Amino acid sequence: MFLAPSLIGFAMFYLIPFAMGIYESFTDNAIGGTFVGLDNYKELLASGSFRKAASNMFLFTGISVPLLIALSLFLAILLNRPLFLRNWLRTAFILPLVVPVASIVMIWQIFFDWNGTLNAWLHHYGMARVDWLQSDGSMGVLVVMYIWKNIGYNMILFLAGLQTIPQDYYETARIEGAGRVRQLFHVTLVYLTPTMFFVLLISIINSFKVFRETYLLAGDYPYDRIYMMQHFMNNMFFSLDIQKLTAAATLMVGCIVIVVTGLLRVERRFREFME
Amino acid sequence: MKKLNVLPMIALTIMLGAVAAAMLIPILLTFTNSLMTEQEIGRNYDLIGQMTDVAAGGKDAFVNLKILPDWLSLEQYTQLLIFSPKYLRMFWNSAAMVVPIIAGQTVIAALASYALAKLRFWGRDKLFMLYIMTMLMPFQVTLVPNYLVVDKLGLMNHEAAIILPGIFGAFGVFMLRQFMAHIPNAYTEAAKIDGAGQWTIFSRIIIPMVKPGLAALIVLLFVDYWNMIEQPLIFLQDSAKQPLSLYLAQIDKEARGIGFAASVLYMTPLVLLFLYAESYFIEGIQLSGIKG
Amino acid sequence: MKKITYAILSFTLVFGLVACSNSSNEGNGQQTPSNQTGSSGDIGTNSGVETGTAGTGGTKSPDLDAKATVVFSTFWPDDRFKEAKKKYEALHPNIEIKLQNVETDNSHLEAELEKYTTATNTAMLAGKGPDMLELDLLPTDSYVKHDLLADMGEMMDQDSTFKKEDYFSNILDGARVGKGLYAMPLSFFLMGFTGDEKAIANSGVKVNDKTWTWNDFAQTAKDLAKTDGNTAAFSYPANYMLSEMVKDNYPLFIDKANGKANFESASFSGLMQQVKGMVDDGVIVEGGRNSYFQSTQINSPWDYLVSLRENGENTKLFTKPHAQDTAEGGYFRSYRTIGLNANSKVKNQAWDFIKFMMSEEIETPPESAGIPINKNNFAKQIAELKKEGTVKAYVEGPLQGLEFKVDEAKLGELESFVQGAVHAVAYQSDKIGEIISEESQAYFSGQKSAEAVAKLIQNKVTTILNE
Repeated sequence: MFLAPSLIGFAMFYLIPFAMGIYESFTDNAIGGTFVGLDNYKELLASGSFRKAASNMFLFTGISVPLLIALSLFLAILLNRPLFLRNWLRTAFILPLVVPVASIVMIWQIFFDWNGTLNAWLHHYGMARVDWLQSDGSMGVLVVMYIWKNIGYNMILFLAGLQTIPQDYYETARIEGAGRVRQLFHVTLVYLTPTMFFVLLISIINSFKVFRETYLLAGDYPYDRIYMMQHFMNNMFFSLDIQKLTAAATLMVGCIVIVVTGLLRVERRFREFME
Repeated sequence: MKKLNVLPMIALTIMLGAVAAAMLIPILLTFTNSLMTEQEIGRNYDLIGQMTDVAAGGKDAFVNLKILPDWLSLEQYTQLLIFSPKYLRMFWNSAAMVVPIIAGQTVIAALASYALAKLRFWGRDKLFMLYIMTMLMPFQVTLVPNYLVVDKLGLMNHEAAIILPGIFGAFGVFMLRQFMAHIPNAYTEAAKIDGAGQWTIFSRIIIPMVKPGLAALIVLLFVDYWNMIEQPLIFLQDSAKQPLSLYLAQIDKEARGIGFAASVLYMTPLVLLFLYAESYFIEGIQLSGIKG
Repeated sequence: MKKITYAILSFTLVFGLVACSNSSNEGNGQQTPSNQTGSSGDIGTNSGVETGTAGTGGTKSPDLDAKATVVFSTFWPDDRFKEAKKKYEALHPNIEIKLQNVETDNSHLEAELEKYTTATNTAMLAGKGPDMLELDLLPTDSYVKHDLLADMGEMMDQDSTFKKEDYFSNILDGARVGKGLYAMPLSFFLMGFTGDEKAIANSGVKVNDKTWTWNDFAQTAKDLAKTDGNTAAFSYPANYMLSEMVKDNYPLFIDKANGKANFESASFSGLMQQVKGMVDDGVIVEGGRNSYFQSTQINSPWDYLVSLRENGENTKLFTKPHAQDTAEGGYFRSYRTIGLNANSKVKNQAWDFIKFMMSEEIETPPESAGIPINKNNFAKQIAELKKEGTVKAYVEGPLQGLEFKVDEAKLGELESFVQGAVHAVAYQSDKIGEIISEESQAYFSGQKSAEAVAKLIQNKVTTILNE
């Protein structure tokens, strides 16, 4: 009964399109296509650019998501303590969230351009300039953009998560003689697990969104180090190759689901252990 | 709160303040640059995206992000507001879409996540998994099927084509379910023994305990939907119905002359709301502090 | 337990709903003529009536008595289409032509165009979408590849009222993709070179623009530059020159079958050096006016006269060099290119309207952009120019509103150029060419080394080839 309203709408606007999308990946044409089994997947795996996009995505997610989570958790813990100007500081970290893509793209462009500010600094110190978005360091630029934008997002979530940890747990731990570090690992992190799980997935989802900025900065065929899965899918969409697009998305979601299932299992075991 | 060490607190504040300041630089630049004339912007940033000819002496041509305008000017703003009186209407459009989405999603997600977190039924975790999976699908994949659904429902070019999918989004369900999973079952079990029904448990015990989560959800939903640009907005063709995000946040990167002012205008309502909500946000958190 | 039943119930309900509506969508064998009108400004409405099934052969004259709405979607608003709509609706009161376009301004072009393309792609892929679309800015080739556009070549053949000899068949053939004609050019531009005939003759260098390739042209340009140190051979940006030269030697650099690019090679750096050498030796200049040849686009007969005159009194139009492995012949770019949605229910009406827009009913003054596909309209334009005797250039143009006499002999030559244009230039330039010209700019301006540029081109082109 609690679930019904959500389920109806969810099925209509998400589940059905989702199922239709997956079905598309087994057919040969958008309109009146016939079932072709795994042909699209074979073609997909044969595509060098797809493999490149996949490995870039793994690399990017593997670097940026743990980094982001660590930084934002650290920040949240610090901001959860008594501080001067605490509210102002919190707001400052959240603000990048509200900056529209257009303005931030303008700023990043001026900063990272061939004639841009970063190169001007390098030049000032007598170093050769670098075409940042067309170099092997380009992924670093993406990581910076991603962390800047999302640190506030995760911080909000962690702060909310921290607040739900009953204070008496800490009391108990203190009485038992646990130090700061032990408290962090045995109380904070343990009780933050559900939040952590959520933050992890949302960070992965948000990491897909860096595509928008990347796309506006470097176009649909950027340097291959930052050619992400979203570039591949976007290009497939604009060439109307829905079959490859859906097959790629299905594979990608499949991979993430495997990871998530594992995490869920850990979470469940953890909950059972708590009870 | 027994031993308040003021010195480390000051040190920490300064450290965090420095980090925060660094993060605010792009926003500050957007603001100050919005006060430059179009001519000044052009003069400053002309070289971006250009390859200056070395033979013609362009070797060391660089562009610096300029912090302070030569003189203050509201030219960008007047340009924007004069040439696009649509601003107010689009602001209204945005609000008219975002508010129902937030209200709807919060209520519906709270109900659903209670079931997913605290009730036991067959296939519960698999269903939850489905919610998560749809969130991971890139929008291009479901675009065509979504089009068919919206078309079938006769919602094409109607705000409801944006609002309804928004209300049923999986984000709120996912987030609140995680927060509810926090709550030890001992609380609900105790209530059950006292003879409380599911509804009472939900409204009297669960909801007060996830208040920080609800506050965070509202803030994040607001940011997400206020900024929405790609998703289902193609179902709104009528330019009279378009939200602010399509207009102010979508200025081409070459149109720097008005881009900064547009961004400031776009951000202002969000920032004000944030500052206003911040007090509520914090208050909500303190209220829910569970005293053992 | 109750909750599960609930859940399952709502599930089946929703699934059933969609399944039902899908089947009703496909099985529309017999639709009763009804007075359907779509909500305004709605890109997805497919209102209209199915009359005589198109494509199954035996196209009778379209049933123009039934009421129908034809939705015609363009990116830009276009007065030509508005006028055609008005005239056509006056002639056929039962047909409504609904024009849709995007409202945009200069600072939102990029975003609006992307949104328009996304929306149109989605609607087309869903089997809906407008009945007619202006394809100038859309990925026509992809639409054709996925059978989303109707073959107008077939409709042309079957329509006894359509007189093929009235139209420039070289353009219609050049616009074909494979055998089918999916994108109808209502008009077109000519791409060519302007050159000072007298100066070239004086230089003694033989120019054969009928057969030259870009390689030949590069040679000719070098010979020309040698004769007179003060005059460059060709004013053209070096990076575009490079991109053309690559196209000329395509197989050397691109192996499409194996998804391999070969830009980090001696032959590519050789080519880059050759073009750079041409710049250094003053064979090609950028933007300079003092050169034997200039690249040009002829928009109309009037524009032909003005463009030639802008470059001097003895200027003549030359055929643009072609790529080595393509046939001889000139280049054109189609303008106001119309496609017909393969899933449209009012194909016959739409075709009739397209035919109308191609016909002499539409007035095309000689200075309007786009050379008309209709030969009679073209002839009228020529006749009108001759009758007027003089043309007046743009006041803001380089000729500052100069009025000069119409050179009838020159005007006569235009027709042979129009007849000789057989290669279509895509509106959206090809990605590979774009990357080459964009990245090589850094090399020609001296900012990056040849190796760095070649590496970038190699890197990006490989991505494209393997997608």
